[in-house]
Amino acid sequence: MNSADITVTDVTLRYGGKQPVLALDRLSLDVKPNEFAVIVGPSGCGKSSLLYLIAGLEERSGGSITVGGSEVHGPGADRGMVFQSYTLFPWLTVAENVAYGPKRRGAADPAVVARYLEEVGLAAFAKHYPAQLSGGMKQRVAIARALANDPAVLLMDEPFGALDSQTRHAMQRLLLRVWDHTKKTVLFVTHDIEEAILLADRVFVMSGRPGQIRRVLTVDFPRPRHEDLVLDPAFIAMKREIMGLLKQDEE
Amino acid sequence: MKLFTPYRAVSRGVTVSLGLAVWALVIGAWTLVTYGGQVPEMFLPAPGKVAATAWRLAEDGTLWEHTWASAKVVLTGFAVSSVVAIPLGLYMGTYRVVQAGLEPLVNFIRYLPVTSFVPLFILWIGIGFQQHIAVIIFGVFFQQLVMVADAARSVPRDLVNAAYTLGTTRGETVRHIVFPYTLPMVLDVLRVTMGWAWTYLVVAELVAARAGLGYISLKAARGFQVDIIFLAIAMIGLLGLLTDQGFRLARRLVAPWAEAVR
Repeated sequence: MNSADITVTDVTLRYGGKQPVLALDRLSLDVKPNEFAVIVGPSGCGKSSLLYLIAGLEERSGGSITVGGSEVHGPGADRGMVFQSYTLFPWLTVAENVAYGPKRRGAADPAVVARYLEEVGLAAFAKHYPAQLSGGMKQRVAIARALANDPAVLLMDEPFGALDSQTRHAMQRLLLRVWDHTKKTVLFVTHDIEEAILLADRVFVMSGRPGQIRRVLTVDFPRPRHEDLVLDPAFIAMKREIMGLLKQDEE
Repeated sequence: MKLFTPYRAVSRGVTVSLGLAVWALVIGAWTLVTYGGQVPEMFLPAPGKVAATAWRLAEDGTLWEHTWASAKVVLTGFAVSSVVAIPLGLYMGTYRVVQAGLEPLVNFIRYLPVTSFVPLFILWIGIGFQQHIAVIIFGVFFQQLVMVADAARSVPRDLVNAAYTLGTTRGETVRHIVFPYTLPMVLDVLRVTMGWAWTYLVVAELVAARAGLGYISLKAARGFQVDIIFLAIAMIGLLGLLTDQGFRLARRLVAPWAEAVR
């Protein structure tokens, strides 16, 4: 299994021409191999933009980003991504979607496709088209599709943001199980504080306008974690701390 | 009153019988005013007369000869236009540089009346088959180009981004993502513009045609043979309906995923 570190150093992102907006200001962070890192921040703080920069889908105005030691210039198959919007290819079946990445590299293996479909519990839907799936199922296929391509890191941009809360919890459990099996480096972006603590080894709390890392918290609740953890005083204390950090921003 | 709930689906039986009822109504009204003598034969022939003419011309083969001549013009012009307009339109909608270069000119030409170019085509190409298909091409090409480009522009950005993160390169985007995603839309563009191609047929056969449905109806107009004009119109309509159904079928076969909605 392929897994690498992410190093972001002094990254700056500026938008627009006449009145440029400073979206990210000399932001630095690092994610270790096999780590589950979560970025939490208010909407519009530039957390998604940071993920797009690491994926190479947008161009940074300054600074350096390396994944597995090599500098990021444009997108590549070493950085898999799951998006907030549904991005399955509607003209391909579920199995063909999962096989897309390996096929591009000329390494299509039906066993790999079957394994990841099994992993996300959708083996029975291999021949369905995306239009026939629910939102949660689509995101499960998207996770399987990203993993089947064996990327070094998995970038996740609020992948459960559009789902109802029950589906969301099921998806969090599933993601943790899959991560436990694959041990990919995961960088996960969310605005949901509970989701961040439940999933993360470390939480990066971002402030907005311009986006910077305000604090890094290590989460050492033992795994596997249960949802009831949210009632644990230590969990609540951490949640309160993050809420306080995010609140500073509003003032 | 369930039938009059907005957007509510109706049964197949209702759909078919309503379609037939409206046709029956039109033909019934036509029968009534012609056999009732309200309208002189010279302006509106009776349905029986048109049917008899159709039978006569079908039997001696002239109907098929002219239908084939017209179909050749329309299909050739349409095919030539589509083969260029689809790839060019996809690139125009995907690459802003292509759009920036082509759009101002295309949007200028698109509004010019086809008829005003007939004399020019005669001057440039001469008269005959090539000039006829030139009219069809001119009539549909620029419309196809703009509509296909619109379809290509509608591809969600994150769909392309997802493809990039799975190893698709920039150069492969049109072929691997834009083309398959827009395929059902492109087939709809073809279906709609095919209808327009048929409407330009009479303009195409306005000058120097020796055969074709447009030609026989123009000739018939000079001799007040209204039944033949009706027949030619009906034939064009039927062929249009046929090609329309053909494209609907093609869409179902080539892009079944676009129908697979719960």
